[in-house]
Amino acid sequence: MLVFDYTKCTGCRSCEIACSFAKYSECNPSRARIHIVRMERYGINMPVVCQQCEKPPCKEACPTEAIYRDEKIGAWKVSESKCIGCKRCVLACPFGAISVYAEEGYASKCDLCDGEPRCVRACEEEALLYVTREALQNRRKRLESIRKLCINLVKTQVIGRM
Amino acid sequence: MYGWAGKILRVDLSREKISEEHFPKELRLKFIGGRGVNSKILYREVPPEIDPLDPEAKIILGCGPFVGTLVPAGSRNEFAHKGPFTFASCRSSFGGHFGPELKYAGYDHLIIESRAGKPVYLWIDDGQVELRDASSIWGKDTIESNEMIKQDIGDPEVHIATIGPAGENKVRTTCVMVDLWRAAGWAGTGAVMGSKNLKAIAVRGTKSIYVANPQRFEKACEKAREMMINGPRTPIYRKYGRLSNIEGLRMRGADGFENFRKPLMPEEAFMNMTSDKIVERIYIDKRDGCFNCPPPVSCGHPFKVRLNGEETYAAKIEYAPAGDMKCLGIHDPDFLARWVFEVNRLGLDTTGTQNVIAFAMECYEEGLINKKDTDGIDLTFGNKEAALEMLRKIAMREGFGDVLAEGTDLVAKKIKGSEKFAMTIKGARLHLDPRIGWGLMLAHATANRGADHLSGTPWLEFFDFAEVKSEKLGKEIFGHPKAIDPRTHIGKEYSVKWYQDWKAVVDSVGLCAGQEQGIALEYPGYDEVAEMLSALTGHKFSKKHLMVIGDRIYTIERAYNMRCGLTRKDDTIPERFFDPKTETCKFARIQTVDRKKFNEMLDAYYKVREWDVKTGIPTKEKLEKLGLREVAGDMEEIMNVLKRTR
Repeated sequence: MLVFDYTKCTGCRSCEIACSFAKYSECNPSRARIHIVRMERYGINMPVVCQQCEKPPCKEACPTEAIYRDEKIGAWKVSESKCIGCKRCVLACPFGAISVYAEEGYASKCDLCDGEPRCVRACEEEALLYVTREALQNRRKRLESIRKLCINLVKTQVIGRM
Repeated sequence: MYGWAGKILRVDLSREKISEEHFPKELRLKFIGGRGVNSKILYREVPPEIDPLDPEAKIILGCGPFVGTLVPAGSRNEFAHKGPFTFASCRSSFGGHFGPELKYAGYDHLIIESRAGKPVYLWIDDGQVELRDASSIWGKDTIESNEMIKQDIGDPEVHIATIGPAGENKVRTTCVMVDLWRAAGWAGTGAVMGSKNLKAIAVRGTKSIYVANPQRFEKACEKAREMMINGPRTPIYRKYGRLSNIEGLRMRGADGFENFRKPLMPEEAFMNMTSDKIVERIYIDKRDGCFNCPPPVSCGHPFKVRLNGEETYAAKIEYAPAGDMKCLGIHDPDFLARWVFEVNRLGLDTTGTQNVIAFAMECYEEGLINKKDTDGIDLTFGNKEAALEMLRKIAMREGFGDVLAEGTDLVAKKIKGSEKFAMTIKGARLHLDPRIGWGLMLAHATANRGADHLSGTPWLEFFDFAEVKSEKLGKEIFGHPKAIDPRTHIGKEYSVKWYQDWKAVVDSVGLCAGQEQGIALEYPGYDEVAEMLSALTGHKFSKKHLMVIGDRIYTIERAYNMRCGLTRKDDTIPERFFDPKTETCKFARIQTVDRKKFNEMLDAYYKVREWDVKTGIPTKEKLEKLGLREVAGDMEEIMNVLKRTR
């Protein structure tokens, strides 16, 4: 899945344009499946993109079971033939990462470009990274263990004495 | 249509009439878009004799074909209008995310006409365009206006170009702030917008820009992207943003200290204001990019401002305000941050305002004006509080600020004996010392919008190697061995013409000026641009073709200037640099400028351009060669008038 480091993001939206070009051969960020929300007043740029949830609300909301998981890369995909464009998934997604465009008639969302996401390639700053689910679990674990260690260090005042 | 959005939007403010026009193919192929098409529309539609702030004047906004596409760093857009201080053709370039959005809304160009009866803002929502009441926003600063408009529309993601109180008060040195931190500066566009009672333009677009040959286009863009990321200036942009020139200029003996009356800032003071010091003191470890700028090369550095003990966040310091602090004799990074924040908030153009304040400071120190004139402000060089107070007064047109709000040249006409302190060319403020090199000097003197370092300075001569191995490069690229040797006035016409034409192309397609061959040879040049443009639009463009287009754009701007009454005598640099009494610096490349050599250089330049050497007017033959037959008649008329009066 895609992980994001907002301290590195310049908010240039190269990922958006790369996504729309990859999917439609057109230049149109509003049809991209990743979207950077620029909060200029505070200098924060945050992406809206499918988190490839383990319990996806979009799938649960889908009346035609059009949303299925590609087991190889772990991405949730939309079956264009099954989707009826009812937009229940759009309402269900807590991130706003899935949309239905009238001219298409079915839901579109990030499908991780079959394991080679174009948005990640466009982000030379590595604010966007593509990792497997398993790697992310390990990352989380590592982070958790370090955090615990730090808390313990502070508690026992090792840092203070150093 | 491929590459272009295909429509021109025309807004008549007084009649509230909004109309769409087809963007004719002939115009697209002859002038590409952006600056090129803007200059053509300006020539055709804005009568040269009117006042720039007259209701009849127009503002033209244009985005090139690269804007909003996959082309890396292709997000530059252009305003064009008659300049409120140059009184000739004037343009202002800006980046950010506004231009792409306008193209996604379906428009390449926007023409704003006449004057609204009450304050309004323009709201472009895809094909839906309306004028909305802006009475409640009028008078608010750019940051607050931006937020209020977003609230009024109800979408936090619209992109907005707005003026501040300075623009509303028709201060001539104003900018338009685009999306909070990007400024369309230089040209005084804010004053023109203010004179039309147009507070802001807000835009949202969701349409597509189509590509003629996607595979070829993607490949070409990929190549350009690689070139930019591996470019020699990438590490500099990463660390310093656009501040890198500070040390370079000092090495050339061109600090322009205290309104250019001294070449160098004292060593001790300079050490407070090096780019490293500025980075260390105010930069935040984060960067902000324009639309589709490859992230490693983005030059926008957010910085922190200390205001009344509190820290605020703002983005992007250009070289201009940092370098021009030296003109004011100020050397304090914190003050720089505060200054940039204030000018952005008030909607003032930083260099223009710095120039007029520096000019007033010199007049004050020379005794041409006194405390009675300046409302009791002690306008001495280096006085930070005075500069900041003057800034506010100019924006609000209070007291002495009302005088300075007219811009350096018009003020100089009012204060007796002060003309020699006005550091301007064609009314526009000078920003770099022209004694850096002969090429830079010629580019400044002949630039269409006045003292402009951004429309044709041969940057190659700026580098150290220019003195060592310039012969081979000069011959290869410009066809003259001395073309980029900064120490001689010979051969400069070739490099300056090349750069001016190239910049016209760059501004017309919408490429960033920091990421093209003009900055360093490793960046995308004519061939790469031609390839991307051909693949994008489906029309055949080649290097040769683009060079002619560049020449055409530059010449039509020039022709408009001629109609506004400019002649050869306006192609000059401030008298101060010809004066042997002016202080010079030992290691400067040029000491005092020799007037004879300068005139020889100008003669040669006109000859290469095929302009009339006596008057500087483009000749009929040249105009016909460029396919500008409609211009030729006008030029002949001017020539005849000049002959009769002589």
